[in-house]
Amino acid sequence: MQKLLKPLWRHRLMPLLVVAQVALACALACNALFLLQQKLRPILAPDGVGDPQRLLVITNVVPRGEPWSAARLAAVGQQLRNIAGVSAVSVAGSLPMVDNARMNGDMVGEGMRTRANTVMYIGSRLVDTLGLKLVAGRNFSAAEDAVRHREVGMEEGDPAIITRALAERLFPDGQALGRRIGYGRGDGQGTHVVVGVVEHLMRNDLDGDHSQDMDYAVLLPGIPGQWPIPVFGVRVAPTGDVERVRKALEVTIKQQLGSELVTGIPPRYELYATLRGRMLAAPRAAVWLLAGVSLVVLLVTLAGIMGLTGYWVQQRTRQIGIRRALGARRLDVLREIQLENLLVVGLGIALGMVLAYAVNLWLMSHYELQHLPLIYLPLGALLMVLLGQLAVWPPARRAAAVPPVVATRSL
Amino acid sequence: MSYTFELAWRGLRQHPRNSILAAITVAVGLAASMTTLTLLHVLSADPLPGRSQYLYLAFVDTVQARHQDYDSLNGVSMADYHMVKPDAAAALLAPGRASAQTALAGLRESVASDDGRRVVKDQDMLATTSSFAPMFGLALRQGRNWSAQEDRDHARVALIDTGLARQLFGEGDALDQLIRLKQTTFRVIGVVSRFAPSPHAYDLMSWSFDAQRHESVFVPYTAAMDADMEVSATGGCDEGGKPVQDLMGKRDLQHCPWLSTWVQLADARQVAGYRQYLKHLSEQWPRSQAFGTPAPPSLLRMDAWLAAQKVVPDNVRLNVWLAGAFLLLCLVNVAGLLTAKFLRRGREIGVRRALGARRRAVFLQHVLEASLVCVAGGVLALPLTLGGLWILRQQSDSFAELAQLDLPMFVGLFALALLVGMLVGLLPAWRAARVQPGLQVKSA
Repeated sequence: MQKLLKPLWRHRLMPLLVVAQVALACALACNALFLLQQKLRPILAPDGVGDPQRLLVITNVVPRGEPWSAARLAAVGQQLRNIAGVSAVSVAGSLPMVDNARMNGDMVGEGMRTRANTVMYIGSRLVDTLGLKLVAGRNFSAAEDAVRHREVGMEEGDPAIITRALAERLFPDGQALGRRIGYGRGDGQGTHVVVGVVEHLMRNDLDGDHSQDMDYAVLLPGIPGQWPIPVFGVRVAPTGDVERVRKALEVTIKQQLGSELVTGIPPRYELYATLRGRMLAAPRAAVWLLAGVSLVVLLVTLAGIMGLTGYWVQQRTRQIGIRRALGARRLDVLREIQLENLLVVGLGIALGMVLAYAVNLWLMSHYELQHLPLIYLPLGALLMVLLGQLAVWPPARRAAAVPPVVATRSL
Repeated sequence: MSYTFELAWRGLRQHPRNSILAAITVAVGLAASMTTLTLLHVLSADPLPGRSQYLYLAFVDTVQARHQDYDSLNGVSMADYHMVKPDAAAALLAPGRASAQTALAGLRESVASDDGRRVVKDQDMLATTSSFAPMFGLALRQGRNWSAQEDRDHARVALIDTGLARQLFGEGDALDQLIRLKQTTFRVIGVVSRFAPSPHAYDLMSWSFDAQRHESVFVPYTAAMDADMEVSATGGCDEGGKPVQDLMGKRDLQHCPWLSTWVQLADARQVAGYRQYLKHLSEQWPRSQAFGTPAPPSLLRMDAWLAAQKVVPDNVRLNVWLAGAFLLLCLVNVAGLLTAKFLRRGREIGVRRALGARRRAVFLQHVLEASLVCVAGGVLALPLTLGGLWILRQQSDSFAELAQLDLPMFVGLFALALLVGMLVGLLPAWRAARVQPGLQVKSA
């Protein structure tokens, strides 16, 4: 070990530069990859919606004057339901991937202590229209769905359906059905009984960090009253023709609500799959950007280490020649250079880990970011070690190829 | 000096691969930093340079209803824009407490010429008082601003901007012409130049960054109230009025908050005095016990208001830091490359020193060489920065259009390149200057 460290220490500028490079690259790459993973979450997470190619969403339905009453919206919903090829219609305040309104709050299970920031979806026939998968309990009954709320619909003590992830969080003992959940206001108002659990349902407010609560959602039945901009979800039957249904929807909405819409804002009729693609365009762009940044960081570090090590090796051509003349094999020379590199990169990684964590703490305090999970540190370390070894390979091979006769020349 | 320069230039050309790699690395680092910095610079720009440090948003809660605490229930876009009811606005507009005071609210209507022949749709307007123009720097091209008496008289007068004047009245004189807003006729008494501060700090609710929008009509808000104009505003209304969630419906102008009051305060003493006044108003305002305590009054300077409303997204600042860290990585990299290059020339340096060159001269030569590499990197960084800004403009953010490289940033790029060059060159040049001439010459 000593014979490795001594020469490194004697000419310590270059190895120290490599250490600094590796440390910085480590800190940067770790945090960039972490941010990347966060942005990737909503793209990869299941949103719970079944068969997105057969779900049409009508957005941008904006009234010119007063908001429509729940009864009026229910009538329009019925007209849409009557279109051939439609199997279910939902009149709702908000839907997943529709960001006109985001309703969220901190939910608490009755008698329990854990809180969860949850998104609320209020609408009729949500489970059927969205194609959600029930894993426990029951769907809302027709009577429950037929409720027309006077107010928004959160105050009254309705039944509720929650996602499995939320059930596990609020009721870790496993028994969610039949229990009550509420907004933690403590005044008894606005609690709901859990009557069913669905497998997945993504929240519709995707900005901010939601690595924990991406799948926390509550469904409430009925049509919200006094809702400024309602959303319609239309599930096309397996036998129906999506394009034809879409055209029929346009005609029906124009007939029913056309004269009361605000001028200049036409309603949008989109496939859920298209809508989802549009909403996830921003995280996708961020993913590309961060992936690009990480790649460039690694390439720059690679080039740097290669350059420096190459020079370092070239400076010691004579010493290597002497060692070869004294009987060292090519393999020994190669091994030694790789070991040196390992030492230097190892030190760089050790510093880089500390730096990565410090940077993450700073980012957390200034921006709403999460803790870097500790798994990133060994992963980052491994990556850097591999990178270092890769970088040192060409110069090391050149060094090993130095013939012993170099020692005899007084170069 | 020219000899040093010549040596530096020659040294640059000697190892082209190394120099090119170093220049590219510097270029990439600089481009990343400049792209993010430009965006931050554009977004954090002062909307009203020279005035904004004296303008404060005054708010006092006089709504006769239970103050809703929306913290635990992030409801349907109920951002608090610190708007006040007309009765509170009247109290805040009372002269004497501040250097100047105004109330304003954004509107969006179609404007028609009185004969109905020309209609310009969806114009942004501002309902305000006579003091808006001097306070915010609205520049009159023709005619005059309305007076405080006309405010009190609910006079139906308007100021329009040159663009709208041309659209409605062609090349003719717009003064004393009549325009129709909704059902009411207003008389044009003045023409102003285009007024579009960015960010739209005095009315963030309408928009914060939007290169396409600017107000083209200015009317007294008292007249706007009479004309029953539709305002968009948030916040709860008096109990018994319209329900709270009535976002798109017509606002009850008497019982709902819809005005933003801005005051001009010259120094810390005035600020403290006004703050005291707000506190007094809030405590003395008649309020039923059933409604509990009102929201606390506030007085925020324009920059504090912009920060509180998070006009510059956190994302933008975060990216600047990431880019800075990346630049640092590139610099360490380049420092390494340069050190390798300089030390390879150990023999030449040794000969030069043996012939009598001072350490300082060698140091200077190498710092200059490093600076040249980095300036070359800066030149390369320019197209990369423009490309990066182009990528940013493709995003659908509201401020995407603003991501342009302006002159200060352009100069900043080269200044940064030069600074970076000198910093990066310090360590390698110092190491090169420390080369022992004897040792180098011996091991020939």
